[in-house]
Amino acid sequence: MELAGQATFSEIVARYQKDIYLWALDLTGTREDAEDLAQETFIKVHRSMSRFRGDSKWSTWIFRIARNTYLDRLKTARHKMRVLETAMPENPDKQSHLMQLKPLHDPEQHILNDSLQKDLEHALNNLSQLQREVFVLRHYHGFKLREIGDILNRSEGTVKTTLFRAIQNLRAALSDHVAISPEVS
Amino acid sequence: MVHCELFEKMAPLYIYGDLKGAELAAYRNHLEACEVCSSGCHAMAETLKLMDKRVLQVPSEAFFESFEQKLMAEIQIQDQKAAKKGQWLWIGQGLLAAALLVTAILLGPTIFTPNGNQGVVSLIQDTPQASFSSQANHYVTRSKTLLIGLVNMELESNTSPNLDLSLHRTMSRQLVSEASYLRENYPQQAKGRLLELINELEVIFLQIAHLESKGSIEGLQLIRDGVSNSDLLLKINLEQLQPSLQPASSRDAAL
Repeated sequence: MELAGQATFSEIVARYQKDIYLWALDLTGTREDAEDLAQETFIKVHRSMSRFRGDSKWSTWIFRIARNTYLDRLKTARHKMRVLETAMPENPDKQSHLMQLKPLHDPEQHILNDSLQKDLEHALNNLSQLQREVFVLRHYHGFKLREIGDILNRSEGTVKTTLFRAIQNLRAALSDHVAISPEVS
Repeated sequence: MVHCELFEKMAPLYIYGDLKGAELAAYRNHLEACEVCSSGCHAMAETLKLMDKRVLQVPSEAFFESFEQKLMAEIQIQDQKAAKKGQWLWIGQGLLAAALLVTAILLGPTIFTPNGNQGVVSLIQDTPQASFSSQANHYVTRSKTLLIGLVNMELESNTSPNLDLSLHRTMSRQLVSEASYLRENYPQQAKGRLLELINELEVIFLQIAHLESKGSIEGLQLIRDGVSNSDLLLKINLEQLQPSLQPASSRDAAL
């Protein structure tokens, strides 16, 4: 249920913390990072909620803040990575640094044991970043195309095409699990 | 097949129930007519059903209670930090203001001496890039202003003791000091007429500087006669016509 225009910060946290956490988990891939990202998102919401003009829904606005925060963090991580590469050009452990800074999307251990879950995560992780974001926002968070466009700063047409391609790719990746044979995407 | 390209991207919208009205009717009609699109749409729907089986790693309620508490604590810490930062900003601004005040108090007497002349000279001397001609031009212009003011002063309406010459005296003292400086730095190749004018003006300014601040009508009249007899204003005008004394901008314009 969407909150009304005049909402308190506590109401906002209570209503959206789960959604934002799950969105952050999808973006970052680890619980710790997801919690940090969700916390930073709500801190930013707290600072700037007086400027919320009600042009969009609270959910769209907060998801956009979360994504921008994630992109900022990614930029910082990439910058750090470049600094590390410059500082240690011959470091044999460079790859391990790369692995630490790259967003991880490995499922939890107990999920790994389940073949279907593993394939679902694998299919989702093989999508491009944009396809993944569009699909997750539409399928798991129920946003309309226009709202997804607002969150991702893309046109509705781009979102529509991206969603179509994302599902085509999922269908190809999960052909073993889908009864109907896949068409070429 | 052209129709298929138009309709295929509508499949996700149809499955999610986002198609309405005419679009929905048109898409349904197409599905009924096109087996390929119908099959494709069905496969997409199956894929999405499969994606519904993805287990989301939703934490427990306890996690979110703890999350909210940690969030509020973090916000409080950041608010306190911001408040402290604001305090330091105020303190910093206060210290800066105090430092500026002290600097002004210390530098004030150096620049603005009680008799108000040494400072002017020191300012002139502190600007090495200022050419002699521009300083001389400045001196002559101010001299002219002072003398015109004195010559045109209506003595009838400024009878003693209401005649106030303090401003004239102060300005004269400054000009005496500047005359001294200009004489010392007078370029060898320059014409002597300007030097003579400076010397004559200095005499007049010394007389003005030594007038009594109030009620010196007779002394003032003597000075005015002196200015008139020695054609000082005419000499100033003639000197100002010299190219060497004209401001750079005027010379450029003339060229």
